[in-house]
Amino acid sequence: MDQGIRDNQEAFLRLYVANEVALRAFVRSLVPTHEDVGEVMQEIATVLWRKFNPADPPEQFRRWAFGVARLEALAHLRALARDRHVFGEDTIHLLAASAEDLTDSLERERIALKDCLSRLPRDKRALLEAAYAPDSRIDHLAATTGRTPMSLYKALHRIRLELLDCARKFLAGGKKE
Amino acid sequence: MNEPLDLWELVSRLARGAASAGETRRLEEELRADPVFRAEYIRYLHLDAEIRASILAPAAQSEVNSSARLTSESNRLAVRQTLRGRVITVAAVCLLAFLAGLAGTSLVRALGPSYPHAMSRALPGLVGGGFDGPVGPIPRGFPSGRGFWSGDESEIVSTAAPVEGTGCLRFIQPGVDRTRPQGPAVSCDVFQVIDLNDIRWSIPWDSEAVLELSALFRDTRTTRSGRIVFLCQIFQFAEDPAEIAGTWPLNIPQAVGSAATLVASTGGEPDKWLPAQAKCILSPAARFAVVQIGAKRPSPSFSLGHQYADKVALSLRTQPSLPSKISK
Repeated sequence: MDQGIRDNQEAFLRLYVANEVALRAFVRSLVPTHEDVGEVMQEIATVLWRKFNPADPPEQFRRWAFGVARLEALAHLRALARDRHVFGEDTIHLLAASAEDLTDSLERERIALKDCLSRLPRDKRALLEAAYAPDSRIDHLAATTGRTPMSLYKALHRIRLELLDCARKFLAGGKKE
Repeated sequence: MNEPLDLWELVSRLARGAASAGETRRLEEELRADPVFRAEYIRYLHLDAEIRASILAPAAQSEVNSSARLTSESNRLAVRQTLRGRVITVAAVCLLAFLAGLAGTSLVRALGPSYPHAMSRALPGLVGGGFDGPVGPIPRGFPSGRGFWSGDESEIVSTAAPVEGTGCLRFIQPGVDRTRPQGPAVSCDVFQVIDLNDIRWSIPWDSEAVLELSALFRDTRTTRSGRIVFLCQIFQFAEDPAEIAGTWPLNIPQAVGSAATLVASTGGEPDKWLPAQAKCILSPAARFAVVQIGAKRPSPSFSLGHQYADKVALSLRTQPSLPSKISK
């Protein structure tokens, strides 16, 4: 392989890897499901690689990648809109602007959440694992545990609130729950 | 996060791909009106992704969920993304690539294992799901009545080794929405309208009912190229079917229930039939259903013609009533 091409690949991947987490979080803010995120991320990676110019300043990569991500997410939503109702473009632009503003804090929060999730009590962890397992359905879970779906939703909601609260305390340097 | 629980339940449903059109609209209104809620919404989705990654990570250490394929004229390079989407192997960074296409990858949600006491039966309302009738083109446009296939340019053929019976459906040419004639023609879709009124009488009063739409898709391209996305979707409506036919697809937001499954293929496995199944709880308000199967091409310049569907079936699964009903 040509050395120049190899250098380009390395330069691209270094930047892509460095920004992939933020990019994924950004896309997650714009499209409805995590399956959509997977599809859009593939398109983004393809477009970024095809249009990557190693001569561009590396510090501009994230902004450029976010711009590509926004366009790809919109294209994906337009395709979805033919068959089901999705957020309009104005709403997506509002969400994109908010998500860009939140990028750094989301990254800090991600690290905090990882810590909080690792210290979640066993029973709550078990509930999350059951609810988030592939193919899991809340109504089935409720039926097998003798609870109502609504009580499960509320329990999951409380755990999420706890996790967010834990992350805030973590970031504030206070006591970790 | 002080919003009422039901708002976060809507967010949760949206994140699971289970939100109805009305629910999506309500969320959208809130998001547009309230920047604080917008930020919390983004945080919530972020948290949801983190939990999912945390739960799935142990099982995903060696599993590749998706592949981003990058091409140039002279070489290819791929970035692997694990289920966490975060672990990109350093070796791949420098050592080039492997191609891992998306052929046959089921992209969307399949619902869980069967409820132990559930009973399932095929609904006779869906007619010709095996495409074993006379070969030839199917009627164009949205169906004007019930019990027959109609849609974009497609035909029943007997030459493509149907999975069973004598024929299968061949997708030929995407159609433009008549409500958006200037829009891109990206997807070749075929529809059937099904009456749900009769089946209501057969559902035990203490049971819940789930509509299950299944289909098999096949992509006979022998080499890998652009990604085709097959669609298997069901909508439930309360309105008169005749009104729906006149305004499709603008009336999709009026659906009282819906479910969809997408299956992607990049070709290279011409003999493989790809299963798809979409399920949704039968809405108490639903009077009829619209079944949609389709093939979406990757770009307007891409030609369909090697894509097929067969064994489309709609069944009704009833199960003892859960402690509380899930409804729209």
